[in-house]
Amino acid sequence: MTTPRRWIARPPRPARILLLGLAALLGSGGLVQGRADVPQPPAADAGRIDPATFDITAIQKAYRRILARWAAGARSEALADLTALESGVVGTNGKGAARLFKAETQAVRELEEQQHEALLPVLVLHHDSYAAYRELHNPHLSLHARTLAQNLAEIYAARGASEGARVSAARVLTSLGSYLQEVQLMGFSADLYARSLQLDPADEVALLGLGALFEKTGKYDAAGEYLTRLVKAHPGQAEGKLRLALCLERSGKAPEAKRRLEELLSADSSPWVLDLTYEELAALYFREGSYAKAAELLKRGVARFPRNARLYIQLAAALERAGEPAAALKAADKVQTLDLSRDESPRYRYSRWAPDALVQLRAAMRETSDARLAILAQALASAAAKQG
Amino acid sequence: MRDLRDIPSAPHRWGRYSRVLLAALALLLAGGAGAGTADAPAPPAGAPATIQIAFLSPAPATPIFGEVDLAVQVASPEPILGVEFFLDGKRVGEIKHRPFRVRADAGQENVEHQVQAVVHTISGLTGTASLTAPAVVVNEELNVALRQLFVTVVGGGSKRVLNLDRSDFRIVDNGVEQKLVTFERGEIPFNAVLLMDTSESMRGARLEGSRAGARAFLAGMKDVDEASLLLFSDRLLAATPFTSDRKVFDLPLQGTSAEGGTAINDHLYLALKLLDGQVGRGAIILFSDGTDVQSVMRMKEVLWKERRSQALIYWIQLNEDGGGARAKISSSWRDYEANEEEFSGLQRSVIESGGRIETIDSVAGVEAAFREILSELRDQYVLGFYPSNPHHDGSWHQVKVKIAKGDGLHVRTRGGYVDH
Repeated sequence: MTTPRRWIARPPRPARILLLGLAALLGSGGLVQGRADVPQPPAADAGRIDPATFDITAIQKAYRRILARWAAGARSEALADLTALESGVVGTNGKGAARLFKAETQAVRELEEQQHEALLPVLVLHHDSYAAYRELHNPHLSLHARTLAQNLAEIYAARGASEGARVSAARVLTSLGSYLQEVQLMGFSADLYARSLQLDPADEVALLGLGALFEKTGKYDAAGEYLTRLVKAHPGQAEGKLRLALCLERSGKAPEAKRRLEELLSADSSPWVLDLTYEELAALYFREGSYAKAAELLKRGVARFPRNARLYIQLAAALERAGEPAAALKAADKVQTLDLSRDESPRYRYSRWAPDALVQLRAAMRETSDARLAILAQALASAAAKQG
Repeated sequence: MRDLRDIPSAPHRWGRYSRVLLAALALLLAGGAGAGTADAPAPPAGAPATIQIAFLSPAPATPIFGEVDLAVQVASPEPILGVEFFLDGKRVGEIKHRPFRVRADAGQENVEHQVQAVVHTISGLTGTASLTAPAVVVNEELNVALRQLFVTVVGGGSKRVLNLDRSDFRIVDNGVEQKLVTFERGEIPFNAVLLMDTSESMRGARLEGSRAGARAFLAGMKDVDEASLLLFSDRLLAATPFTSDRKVFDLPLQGTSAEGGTAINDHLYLALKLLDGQVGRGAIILFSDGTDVQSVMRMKEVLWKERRSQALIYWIQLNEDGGGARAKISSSWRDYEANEEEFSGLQRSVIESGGRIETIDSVAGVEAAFREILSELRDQYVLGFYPSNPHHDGSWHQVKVKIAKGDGLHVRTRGGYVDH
């Protein structure tokens, strides 16, 4: 099994991670250009906390208040307050990042001493703040949030010593990895997936993610290994089956690819996966010279997806090669009268990383975290009592 | 069909040949064959009431060039004295006995010809049949093996040259010199497909520039020209029918935003295929950065189609990096090597088609690039020839057009065709 170990960075200190993150941003391996997380001014409401007045104790006090709101289920308020606090401390130049990291880590350690399970909702909070910082395009804050969430996940998995804790930690790491994959930070993403799989060898999204990452870099054999593991562990994983079939074809195993695609055609798949299965299986028939067979399949395809112009274009090409130029022209002409779909095309979705399984993973992560909010509240109370 | 030379005047023999006669009549009714008329007295029982004439050559609705056979079948109620043949009003021969066939010279111009046969009988009856042999419609190759080449000739200072005559051109097909049978020059109507990339990379000024370019091209078209507009990203976003009505293009041009990936191959194939349904010269003007990462079709499959088409492909390639090395890319659909193959395949398709790649380094140059291509389409020669060395085996024929005394002149045309 090929591992992405060479991508794994040393354990993070914020400054090092920041540099690595920036390096990755600047040179993401010649792949499809990712969104550049260029420094931006903090959110407008960040100004309501004056960073000049903050020492570590003050930061921790504000942070505990935020955790209390989070524990009470006031998600958006807690997230907004956290954004304001962290933006204020870190600033636009990132100079306060180390101070913030130290303050929050200490506060969480106190909670963890009270109640280990209190850690999970806290790391999910930082996971969510990472997602929010991505939208703000602030690399200092997103790096801080990701590092903290990642470290807390490691602590939670290590101290929990249960399979459940490891699975929960893996979900958070995988979710973070998926955010990185979306913006083409492939090395960092692969590191997180690899770590997730150490914690939970059957993590569906991590297996799919590694398969998709290797596929995108043209390493089809390596991709095939992860995807084979995936479909064995999750037999209903239609996207994984599709990716596996395509990687097999690109590795020169067209007959096996064809068999898998034909099976997938009759499986219960998402519409976008089914649509792509029609396109790719027809393309495979076409390349092997079975033009009439490709045309027959595509006729079924256009009946199932009548607004997909690409299927008509393929149908025209197959009919033309099958010696039916008039029918081919009719299929091409049909495109000019279609009520064309305005939705994202299945091919684009395939290449931009948005698996159905990720939605399920994040829902499971949140559900597990919500079940521990009361524990977080207790831990906060105990810690406060201990501090007198 | 059996020759009618043995048809006797005796009524009892008519039944034996009725099938042949019916076939000749069917040919007459099918259109294109000349309709015979005669002013005749009542025929004997069982004989045709009038003189009936059907052309055996040339075939209906077929263009004619050079030496051609003119031949007719005749059924007459009485013995025939002879058949006179006329080509474009000029008498080219008279035949007194079957078969009624004469050889005539139709010349090498791509023009319509009128063919006429006049039958005279022993009693002074006459019957006449006419047939029109049409000119070849530019780009039409139905039923004939005529190959057409759209030729641009450029002289000093990249100025196009449009004062050459047919005698100035030589066509060489796989090394064998060909006879030029059709020749046209300048202002030839065309059907154009504007194939516009509106993917994410075209956002902002690029999209605005491409709209301006497309509008300039469409506004410069003449009423006899038609265009179809295809807007695409990773999918087809808008498609219009072929039309000369500029208003049809307003809505799709205005209403499309730049989003998604790029799928050139699929949509270039579509454009080539749509041109199959159009009579006349075809051209595709592609506006894109040229990086296809989403198509299901491979460029070699598009190239297959391009080689069977007579359409010119022009590619306006926006390269705002100023000609620096193009970044290699890998995608979920293709690795680095395969993507490079697709890119060079696109370049090859364009060059082979006789079009060209117009690289512009700024969005400010888009409109001028569209105008220049429109102008080039106006300043072309159309040369037609019947390949003298056909094999019908799907092989590639390399074609070269040379200009006698053409020092300093540069010729650009399709690089060849598939012999099928």
